[in-house]
Amino acid sequence: MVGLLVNALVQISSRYANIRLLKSVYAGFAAGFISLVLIETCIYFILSISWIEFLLILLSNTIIYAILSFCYFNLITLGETARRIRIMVELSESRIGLTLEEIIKRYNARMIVDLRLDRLLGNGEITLRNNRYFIGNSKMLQIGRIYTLAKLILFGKRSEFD
Amino acid sequence: MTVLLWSTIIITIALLVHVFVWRIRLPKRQTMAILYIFSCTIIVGLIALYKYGNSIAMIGVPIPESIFEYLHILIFLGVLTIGYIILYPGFEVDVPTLILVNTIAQSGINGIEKEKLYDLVNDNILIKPRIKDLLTNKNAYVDKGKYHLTPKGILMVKIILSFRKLQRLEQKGG
Repeated sequence: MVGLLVNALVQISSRYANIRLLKSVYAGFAAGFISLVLIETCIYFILSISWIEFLLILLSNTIIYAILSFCYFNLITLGETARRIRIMVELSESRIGLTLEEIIKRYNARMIVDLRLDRLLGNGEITLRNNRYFIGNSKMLQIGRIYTLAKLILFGKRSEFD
Repeated sequence: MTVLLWSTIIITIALLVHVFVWRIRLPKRQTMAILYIFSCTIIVGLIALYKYGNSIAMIGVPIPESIFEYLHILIFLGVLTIGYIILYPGFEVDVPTLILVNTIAQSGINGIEKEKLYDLVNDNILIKPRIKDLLTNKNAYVDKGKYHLTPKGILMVKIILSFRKLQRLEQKGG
């Protein structure tokens, strides 16, 4: 928990130092992990436990810290990429509510596709040649395969539209 | 060792129950169902471990020996549960980035034009199902053909926007 607090403090402070979002996330994670190791090491000397016990406790707490950091990272990116959140933000800006057509006018598939294509091009996941998109050095494709396997196990299908 | 061992065993049981239930009948409110399944499995698992721990120890399997170890296991499992709930929406819905990457990959050496991507990845796939989700999860409601946020939805937006402001990010993402 202390590690996560340090993570968040360093990450947010980095943003105020004009460090880019992803770098601030890495900085926060590293700072939190260092604080975790330092605290664990202090406990090791205070409690006089064995090396193996220390390493096993450190491993389990590292896993807890990594998962909490993952949750924190998702909280940061929730407003950045989540469609439901964006739709809710649009609804919150309208006092009288929005029809389906009004929602789509403000936020639609074309905007989503354009934004993501720009990100994917920027990361080298895809390339653009002669106005056609091609797959590049894609880590997302591997991640996609894991997600497809999970969908097959959970739902018996590859896509929510199958 | 004990914490890792029993956390792994209990979370594996929770995941198996989760898959089993999903294959029988998909719950309407999936995230709540996951929380319920995992919470019940964790509570039952820890109680069973406490009650039958001595019998298990007799066959040479290490068991928690102090309240602190039980607490450590509980925290570990709680965090794993939260992590899975955060991860789950990516399995539940088709993620736009992954749809695009898969579609482009399937086009192979011919590649694919942007207009074709617009046709394939449209509002029926990306927007309308998410609006339906907001209604199912009671973040929004429909009144005379207009969508509004529920109090729960309003609160969620306020929290997200405050956090984005703290992060010095643009208010609108997506």
